[in-house]
Amino acid sequence: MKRLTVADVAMGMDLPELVFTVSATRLVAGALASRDYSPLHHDRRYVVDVAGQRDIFANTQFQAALFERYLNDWSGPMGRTVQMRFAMRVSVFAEDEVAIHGTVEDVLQDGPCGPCVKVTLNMTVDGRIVTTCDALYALPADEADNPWDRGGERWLQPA
Amino acid sequence: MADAPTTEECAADLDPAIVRLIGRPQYVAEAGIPANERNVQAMCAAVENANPAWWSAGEATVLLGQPYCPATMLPAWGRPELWEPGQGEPLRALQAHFDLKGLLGYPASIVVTYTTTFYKPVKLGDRLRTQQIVRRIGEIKSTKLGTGRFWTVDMQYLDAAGDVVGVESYDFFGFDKGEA
Repeated sequence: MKRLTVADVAMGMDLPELVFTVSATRLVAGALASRDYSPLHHDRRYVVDVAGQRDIFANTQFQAALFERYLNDWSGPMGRTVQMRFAMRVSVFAEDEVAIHGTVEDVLQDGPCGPCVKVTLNMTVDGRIVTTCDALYALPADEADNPWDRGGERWLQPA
Repeated sequence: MADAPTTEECAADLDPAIVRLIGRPQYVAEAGIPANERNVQAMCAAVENANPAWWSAGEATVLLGQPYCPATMLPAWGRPELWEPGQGEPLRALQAHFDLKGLLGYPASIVVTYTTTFYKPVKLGDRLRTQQIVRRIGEIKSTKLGTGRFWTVDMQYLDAAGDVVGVESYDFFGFDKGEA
């Protein structure tokens, strides 16, 4: 099993692309798993006739979970999400094929949550960016380190 | 990347009743459902996340030290059931936002940015409380969408000890299309 450490990462590194079809079934499964019962994410008649959209679309948590899966695929199981900041430009509709690209913008050895990386993630459909996500993601310092043990002064604290 | 909002702000021209909402916890909800494998695995199936820690509590304990949940599952642990016995009219998600939109008199709004910050990991079995806090309300601005204001509402998730486990922070722009 792959276990990325911060030593394996450099600023400017591109993460492998993920292509994923957001089928209606996956989209509804994600909405229900996140306990989001808004009709926008499961009721096509409502979405088309009332909301004026072309189809049901992904809820925010589905997109967050897909980005987290992308980061988990890259790092292996020890990676730990610290923060995600989204700008959602266009909805991700049922049957869209999304491509996710990531770039390491910075490697932070110290400071809250460190070592961690800042990663910019772009989700595109037909080459057009639909969502960007700036993620802060903690990685092991070495093979013996566990980011999930970090807390207190070794982790981000609420204001 | 900015941390979660740290200061409360408000425009100078706001009604005092609206100003009083800033920084005050609202819609303080009782503990939600326990964080559980069923919802975690349903989401992991939906997005095909094969991380073994999310498919077995035992594997998570071996790998991570505790049976933790994926961070992005956080909102699932604070949402109400679709219906419960004795429930009246259901509240909308982030009701504090809809209240503010009505008080400010804007017929439309959009989410400009959404930031979620994870301060403590959530374990299987944890039950979280939620509360909503209006953080800031800006001056009147004109954009291509219309004339309105930007405001920020946080959804906080707290554990049994009262510690903030995570925060979803929504930046909205509320506006009147007719005033563009």
